[in-house]
Amino acid sequence: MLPTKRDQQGVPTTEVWGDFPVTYHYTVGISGEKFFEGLKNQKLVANTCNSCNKTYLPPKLFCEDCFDELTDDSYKEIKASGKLVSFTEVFLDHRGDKLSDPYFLALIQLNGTDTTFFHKLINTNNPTIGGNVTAVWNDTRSGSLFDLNGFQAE
Amino acid sequence: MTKKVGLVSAGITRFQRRAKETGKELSYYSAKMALDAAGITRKDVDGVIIGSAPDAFDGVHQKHEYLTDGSGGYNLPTMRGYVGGGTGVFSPIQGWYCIASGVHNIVLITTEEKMSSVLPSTQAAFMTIFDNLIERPLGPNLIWIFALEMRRYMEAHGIPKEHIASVSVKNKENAIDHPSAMLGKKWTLDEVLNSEMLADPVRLLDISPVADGAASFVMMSEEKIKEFGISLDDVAWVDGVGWNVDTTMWTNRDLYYPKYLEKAAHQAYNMAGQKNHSPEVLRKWLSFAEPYDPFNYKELHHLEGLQLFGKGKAPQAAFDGITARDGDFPTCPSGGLLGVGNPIAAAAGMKICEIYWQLTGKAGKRQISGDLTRGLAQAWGDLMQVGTVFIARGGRVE
Repeated sequence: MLPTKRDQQGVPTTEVWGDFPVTYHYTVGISGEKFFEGLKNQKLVANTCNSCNKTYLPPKLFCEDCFDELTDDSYKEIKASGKLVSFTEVFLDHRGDKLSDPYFLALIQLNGTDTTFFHKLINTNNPTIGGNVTAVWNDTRSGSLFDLNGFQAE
Repeated sequence: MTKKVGLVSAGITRFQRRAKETGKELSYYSAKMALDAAGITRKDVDGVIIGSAPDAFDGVHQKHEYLTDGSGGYNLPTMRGYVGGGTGVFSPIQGWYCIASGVHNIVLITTEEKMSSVLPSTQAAFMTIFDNLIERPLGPNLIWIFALEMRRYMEAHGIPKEHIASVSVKNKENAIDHPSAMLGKKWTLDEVLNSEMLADPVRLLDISPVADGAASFVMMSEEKIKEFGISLDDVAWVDGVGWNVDTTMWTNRDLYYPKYLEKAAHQAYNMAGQKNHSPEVLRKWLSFAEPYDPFNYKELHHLEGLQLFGKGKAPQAAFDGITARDGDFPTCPSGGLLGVGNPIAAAAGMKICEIYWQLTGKAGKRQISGDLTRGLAQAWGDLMQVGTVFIARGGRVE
């Protein structure tokens, strides 16, 4: 591609445009398959380390602390409700442009887990830290993160 | 027994929204400035360290290889360490262990970032550091997740936003005196508090600007410092180093307190022979600090992780002026990332430059008054869970 001259924020530069011409097919993984299969069936699947009793959501193949392998019997369905730990309302997209509909993202501690879960907070204008929230499921589920529409106050 | 290692010079480019130079050209300018300031040439160097953050910014995969010539690595043992935003303080740690171990005698270290090449934005590139399956579908960027952390920190201690905003006022004003700075300006607290909302509670003047830039330094063994006849007035000895990483999942820990940094700080203080880690003792032992401040609350969060203030105590101290350049314990006298700019690895490299210049009396208008004994620089990185700590002491301080 031919070089172009541009002025960016008052700095005249000579540029050539290009990209990284690659895409990826990411592996879901051992624990990931159980997690996403669970979502498809309207279940939140976590798992627990036998040594330290820490419960992970999403589940993991191994305990990062004990370094024990978390085997098939470590997985269990947990109730899809918990507490709001933190939230933000986002106003700009990745380009820095204003979002027409600002929305909430949150960290939620699902009951019975030792981790927080990152997802959308929906149907709210005034979230309360420490308040109880529950999952809102999507009617059509395919084994993706958006099998959950998000979480809302109980 | 490790060898004694000293910083003998520093170099830096201007930090700019978009530099006309390529990444390797920026690296060259800062590396050359550091060599010249040390009074040596590339031929004297026997090891090179390159510090740079995600390849996606420059758009060149394995960019250490691309940056090698500009960083002075041609035909020399050269390596890149990479711990995200923590890189700029990790690179001098690598330089230290290369010399302390006896492998090298003179090491040239360059930290670089060229963030303006990537489109549509650096935050779009940052999205690719998240887990592909459980986080990326939500489209997170760093501003959004730091908003979650900032709120957790504020909630845990009942911190008023005014106290946090005062850090932006201080650092951007300090940066007026830094020749490399992008955003040196005197803002009022109200202007910071009322700047554009990005992701509640984070506003525009709470955060540092993306930039292009490079910063370099030269380290030598004590024998080489003597051999080259370098005055101890121009030396800052490496006193302590520490680094640590918390859980790989940023969602798997309580964001109100940086435990990873506490551990890195203990490591560095212990190495320096400072066994008492109470805030009052540490603030007397150190003369000043350059905590990592990509966001204003992070300077405070990090000061607590560094044990320089108790949990939840740093915001009031900042608001009261204790951390001003002429305060009892100056923090970010350089102007920090909030004022000088944030070319990731180079921004933390800038903090190492500041430690060196302050301890050797070369900080110009930014010079902190009085006898300085020790300075600390710190950075934070990977996906919110890496802490890197570097402590230096004046050339004549035992």
